Amino acid sequence: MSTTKNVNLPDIGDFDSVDVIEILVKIGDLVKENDSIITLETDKATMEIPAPFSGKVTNLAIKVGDKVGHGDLILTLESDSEPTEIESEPSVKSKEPEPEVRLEDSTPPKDNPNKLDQKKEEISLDTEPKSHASPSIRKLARELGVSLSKIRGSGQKGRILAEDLKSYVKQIVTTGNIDDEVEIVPLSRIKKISGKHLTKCWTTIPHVTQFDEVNIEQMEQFRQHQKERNIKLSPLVFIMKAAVQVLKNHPNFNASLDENGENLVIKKYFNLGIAVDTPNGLVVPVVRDVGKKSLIELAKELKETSERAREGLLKPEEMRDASFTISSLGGIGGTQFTPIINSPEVAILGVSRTQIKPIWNGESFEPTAMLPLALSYDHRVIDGAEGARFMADLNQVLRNITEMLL
Amino acid sequence: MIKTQVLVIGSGPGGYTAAFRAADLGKKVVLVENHDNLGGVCLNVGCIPSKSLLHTAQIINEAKSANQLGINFSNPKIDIGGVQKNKETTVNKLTAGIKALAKARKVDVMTGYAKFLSNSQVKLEGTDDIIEFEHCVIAAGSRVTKLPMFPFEDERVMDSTDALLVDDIPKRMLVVGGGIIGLEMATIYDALGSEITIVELGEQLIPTADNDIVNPLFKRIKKIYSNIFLNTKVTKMTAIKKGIKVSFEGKNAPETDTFDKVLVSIGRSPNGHLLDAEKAGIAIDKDGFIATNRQMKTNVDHIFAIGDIVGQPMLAHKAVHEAKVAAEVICGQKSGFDVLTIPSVAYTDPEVAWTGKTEKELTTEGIKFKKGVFPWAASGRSLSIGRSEGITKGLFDSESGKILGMGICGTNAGELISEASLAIEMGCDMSDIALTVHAHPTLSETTAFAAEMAEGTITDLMPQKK
Repeated sequence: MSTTKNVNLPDIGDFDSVDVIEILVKIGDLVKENDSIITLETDKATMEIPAPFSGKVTNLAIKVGDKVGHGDLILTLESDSEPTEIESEPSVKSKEPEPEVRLEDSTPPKDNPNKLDQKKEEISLDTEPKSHASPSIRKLARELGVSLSKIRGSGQKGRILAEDLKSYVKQIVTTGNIDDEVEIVPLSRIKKISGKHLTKCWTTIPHVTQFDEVNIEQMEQFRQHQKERNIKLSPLVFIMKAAVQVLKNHPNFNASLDENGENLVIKKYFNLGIAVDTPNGLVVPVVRDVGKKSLIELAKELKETSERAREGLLKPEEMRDASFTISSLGGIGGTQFTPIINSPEVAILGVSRTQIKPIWNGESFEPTAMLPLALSYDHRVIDGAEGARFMADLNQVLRNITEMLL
Repeated sequence: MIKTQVLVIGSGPGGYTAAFRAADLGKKVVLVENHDNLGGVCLNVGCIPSKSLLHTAQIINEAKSANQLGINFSNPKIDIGGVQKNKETTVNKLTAGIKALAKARKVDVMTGYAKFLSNSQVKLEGTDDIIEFEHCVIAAGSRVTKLPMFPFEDERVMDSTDALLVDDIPKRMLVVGGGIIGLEMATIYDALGSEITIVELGEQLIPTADNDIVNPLFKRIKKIYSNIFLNTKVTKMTAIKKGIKVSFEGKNAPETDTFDKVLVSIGRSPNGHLLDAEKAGIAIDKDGFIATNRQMKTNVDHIFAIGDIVGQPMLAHKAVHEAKVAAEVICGQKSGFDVLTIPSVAYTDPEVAWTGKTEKELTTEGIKFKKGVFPWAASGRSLSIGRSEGITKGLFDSESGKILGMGICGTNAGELISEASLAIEMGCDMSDIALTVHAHPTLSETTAFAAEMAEGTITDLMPQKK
């Protein structure tokens, strides 16, 4: 026989109220173990909650828009019942006889059983019901030879007005064509969330961006050596390591401004946010205690974290508590860019693609690997001179990687 | 040989409208009509005479129910001659009006049955008149469907045209077919004193409408009429001396019964096969419908067709709009038939009217909708006229709130439905209707109340549970 079991929200980290943004099952659905049942969203991430066991959904305790926390009832599953795949629809609303044909389109419409092929009409007869236009406007459209579905109405609730038709036609007449075809694609959830955050960062923090280029010949030689030994180290791990070393000497950069903007909160830990490009948008996982980790450890952690980020498997707590952020676009290209500070942090380092440049060594021009860096900092906290000094120090360490031993 | 720019075949509401519109746009027009009077079925043997008789019926019924108001009339004496004459006066006034309008527009009216000789000529049957046209509009309408199983040769078996003559008032009358025409004729004969029995094959009266808006009518006439047999088939009909003997097949119907008169109103058939239209190369389907595009063009480029002959619903107001499209397209205008709704009205007592989609259609099409039903029992105006059985039902898109359809049963439903038709054409939302101030107390308020019911903003009743 069947038993009914409640499914409660598992521990998803220390959140007491998380928005339910999607319910992926409905009453009567058969779900298998690990099938996603709901989607939750925190300010940093979305996560799908899997079913802990298989069964039929008999009750839904939450709805979209609810806030839930650890232990809250999500739904009830009836399990162990013999799977009755062909269950009848659970709720028949009325006793009135249901028409035999429901959604299948097997009966032709009764009226106008034999309209001629409408392609024969040489005028535009657009009765697309989604075009919100009164009979007189439909008439005007026919006369002007305009398909209403191509016009965006400016009236209330998108009603197409005579002016809309006229300006549409005017546009065709004056420009000769109408290249206004657009496609509306909703932003991904990540973009919607990060968009708000980025707007706040960009509009509330007075940004200054300091550029520099680092001669990384020494680092490149070292990386080459390690590669021959089958140890793959990306420039990023060196930059992370070097950044922490420099941050230690420039504590104002490893800090955040408190909410009143009156105190600087200087952090004694060195957790670096690393911006990662994923199919759904930008996420910033945090690598903790970078100073205590070796280059090889960092390389390994970075690889694993980025992979999980791309698969959307990062937990919210893995994206918290950064003290400084690095955004590397070196793998893609570009000479420089101005990164946006990830508030409440006060600085961010942007890395672009290494280029071989002719550098004057005092006697001749030498082909040299140059790494472009861009440091954006919060000018309320950091002065221009400090920013330049930080960059000079970072340049120094990256140029002579043996200094990392110091 | 007569040459014309535009030939219109048939002078019903569709035909005369096409002729007049084309003439107004500068064309030389010949209008051919088979009958002596202009106006077609609608004016001569359809909408207009039936409404005249229905008005007569209404007066009788209201006088009868006046005793509830404390006014007692003695039983009416019905002078059949007078009833017929009143009807004829109405019809003649209108047909004469059309004739005058034709004359004023210099439309050449010819009498005769037009048959095609080719795609540019017709001959008027029984004459030598041949008319050559540049454009033709076929508005030849439909006729009563007559199945051979009914003995129409006996004059006690009537079609709607016969019944409108009101030759006499049968004691017991059977109406075969519970559609609009059958129910209207039943209303007339009931008022005149006949005992009515209705037999309908489907599971409800007026099967194309939603059952809930037919139900108040059904409940009322079920009490008044002798019998209403639903889900019942007439299997045999024979004329015997005593009357017309009818055999039924249905759960509640008797095996046989005999009636003084029988009205057969089981539908109308298009006249597409009666015009030799194939000689013009016009495609006609097996039922007799002529296919057109939305500019009312047939497969032959310069020949148009409108009205009953091009498809359902067979309604004068549809034909009139199609007629204007045809005439305008002939005259080089960029017209097209792109209406969103054609309302239907049964002039019964109470009236039943609906427009846009029915609930049945929305369900079949899988469109999600919200329903607002306002019972007239809560309408002050309805109660004060002593008729509270009506309902007004609005159907709205469940997401956008846009009106999809409306159904009304009650006094003057046919007049009330136009607001909903306009709302559909204008793309109104339920709130547009609810927020429009309707005069109080009126029956038209119920349209706003139905929208308020759907919106949940009703105060004259408890809002319906979500």
